[in-house]
Amino acid sequence: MSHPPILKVSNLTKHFSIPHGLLGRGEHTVRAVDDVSFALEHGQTLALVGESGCGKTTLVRMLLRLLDPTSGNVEVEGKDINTMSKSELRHFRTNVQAVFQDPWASLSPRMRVFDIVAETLVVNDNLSKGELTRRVDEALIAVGLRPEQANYYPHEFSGGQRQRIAIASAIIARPKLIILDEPVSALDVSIRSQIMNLFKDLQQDVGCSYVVVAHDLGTTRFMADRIAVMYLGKLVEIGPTDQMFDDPRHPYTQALLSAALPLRVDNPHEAIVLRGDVPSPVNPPSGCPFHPRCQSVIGDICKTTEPKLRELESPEHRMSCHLGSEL
Amino acid sequence: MGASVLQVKNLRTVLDLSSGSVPVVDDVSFDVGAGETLGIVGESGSGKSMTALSIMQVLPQPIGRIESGEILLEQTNLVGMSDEEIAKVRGREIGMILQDPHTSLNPVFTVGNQVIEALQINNPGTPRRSLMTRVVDLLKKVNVADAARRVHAYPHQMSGGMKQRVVGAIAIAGAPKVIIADEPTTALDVTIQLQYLQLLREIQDETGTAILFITHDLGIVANLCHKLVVMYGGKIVESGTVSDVFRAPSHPYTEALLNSVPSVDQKVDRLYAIEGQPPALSADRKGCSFAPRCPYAQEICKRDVPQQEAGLSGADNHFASCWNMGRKT
Repeated sequence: MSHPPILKVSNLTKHFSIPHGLLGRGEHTVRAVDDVSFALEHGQTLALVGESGCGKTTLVRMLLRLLDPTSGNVEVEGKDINTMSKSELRHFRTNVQAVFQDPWASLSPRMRVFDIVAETLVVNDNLSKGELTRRVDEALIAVGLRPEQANYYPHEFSGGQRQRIAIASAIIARPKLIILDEPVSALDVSIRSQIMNLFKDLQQDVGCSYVVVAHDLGTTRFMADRIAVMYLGKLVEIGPTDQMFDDPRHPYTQALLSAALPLRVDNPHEAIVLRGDVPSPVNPPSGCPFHPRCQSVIGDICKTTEPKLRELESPEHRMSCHLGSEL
Repeated sequence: MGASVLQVKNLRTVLDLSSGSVPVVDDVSFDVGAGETLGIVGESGSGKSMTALSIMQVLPQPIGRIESGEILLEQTNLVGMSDEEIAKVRGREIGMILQDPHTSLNPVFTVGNQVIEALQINNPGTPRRSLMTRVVDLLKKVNVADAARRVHAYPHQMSGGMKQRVVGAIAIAGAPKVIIADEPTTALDVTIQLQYLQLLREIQDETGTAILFITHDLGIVANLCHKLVVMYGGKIVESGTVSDVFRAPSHPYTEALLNSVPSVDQKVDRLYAIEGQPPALSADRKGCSFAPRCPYAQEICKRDVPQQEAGLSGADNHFASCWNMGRKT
């Protein structure tokens, strides 16, 4: 048997209670993430896609152990992150890093670049000043900055450079897993491609794995080996990137991916326009949660029975839809 | 597509900063006809939003002002109009849709009241009650489900996509000749964005309004717009019909921009990256503002501002400004 996967998520569920009614005595339950399972192998990239409110962010927060799951578990390299000992947790905190969307909010304006980038090492390892400087220089060079820029404050940098600083501080402890939450969407178009290439180069150089949350589908296609599509807290389809784009199987995936507008003017793009908005997760529709907007409803079964995630031709590619299940 | 509804000629807008007068829109000219959609593409700081604010004459005060040029709405020049005159143009002749529907609606009034306000500009003195049916009609037109009940809703009771539809209803309430849409779908989910773009197309088919669509998303331009102008550092670097510019981009920046967007059609191993950063605002600029990032840049590019060349790809209306047009292959 080989190594355990870098990340394994099993039946992960998070419910939130929100007060409701007079004086907030009643309670509603929001199923933000509902029974989600997947695994990520070393050196691979998984993209999480879905509309706002589908549970991507809640899921990511549980992967980082910033939120405790209601049930289910998250394993990193075979260890359940919610039952870790203190020393294991310390290792987890350096081994799993994150880069967030907004480089204006994610860097402390009062710290110099050196202190921001070095922080993970200062907290967790006892390194000499010389060694620390060497590691910071190394990280800055890896992300395309100059070592002497370590003495500046974040406000002296542009958005793209700030995102590079955030990446340097994420990679300095040589983590095996990096969570990227909309890592380029706050950046200008011409800067995005620089940063996306950087993520790819880093992955090739150090072999880290990524979980990337992105609403831009072009970004997803470029970055990801596999794509997981979420809808109202549930995983509706997961599979290899090319299969997902070329032959999406779940009607929601079909609509979502067709909403990406390609850069061509020759033949008109046939997009599937969905009706209505995403329903409220407080009161999700019966049966398949997607049925009120679905363009391929096959009958009453969609309204009454919730489809289970099942394997398609390969165990790699799974989806939850009644379509084709009768065969 | 009819005659020009909105014509911008040699527009120059400056911001008076402590460091001097900084041009943010520099010698910009374009026109858009009835039933036509013009895309204005550029990154932050390229001057695309400042162009829109100049047309509506809502530039940041007191530092922003139009220094020269003309903005012709049909035959009337908006530049130099008094505040009272321009107030009659806003909302009535030109409607506007901004990026963030959460901030463009007033949280303490129902959406019905906010649409009525727009209707009253055109029908002064009409009692509010009699306008209510028109409000419901407008909300139906922008595909707000259950419109008769939704007129009494407050903005916080609606989703982002629904709110942006209400903003659209306000923009079309005065039956404007031009709608300026400044990144109207950037805050929306992709599936909702698609619905909204389709809605804009339907409104245009029905009313023949001209649309100025400001965006950084080339995918939207390819699928929605008829013509486009590409802005960089306050200037137009290339303009033409969408099909001419996408098939034969002539300015190195346009070419680079088209190459740097990750495709949804196929997987690539590496993206084309434009090195460096967009230029900062500054009072004294020399030469082509793209020169520091341009792979074809020569001495002359750093020294002199390139002139516009017409007739690219065999079309009179395909322009670009670059010193290397003849030289690069």
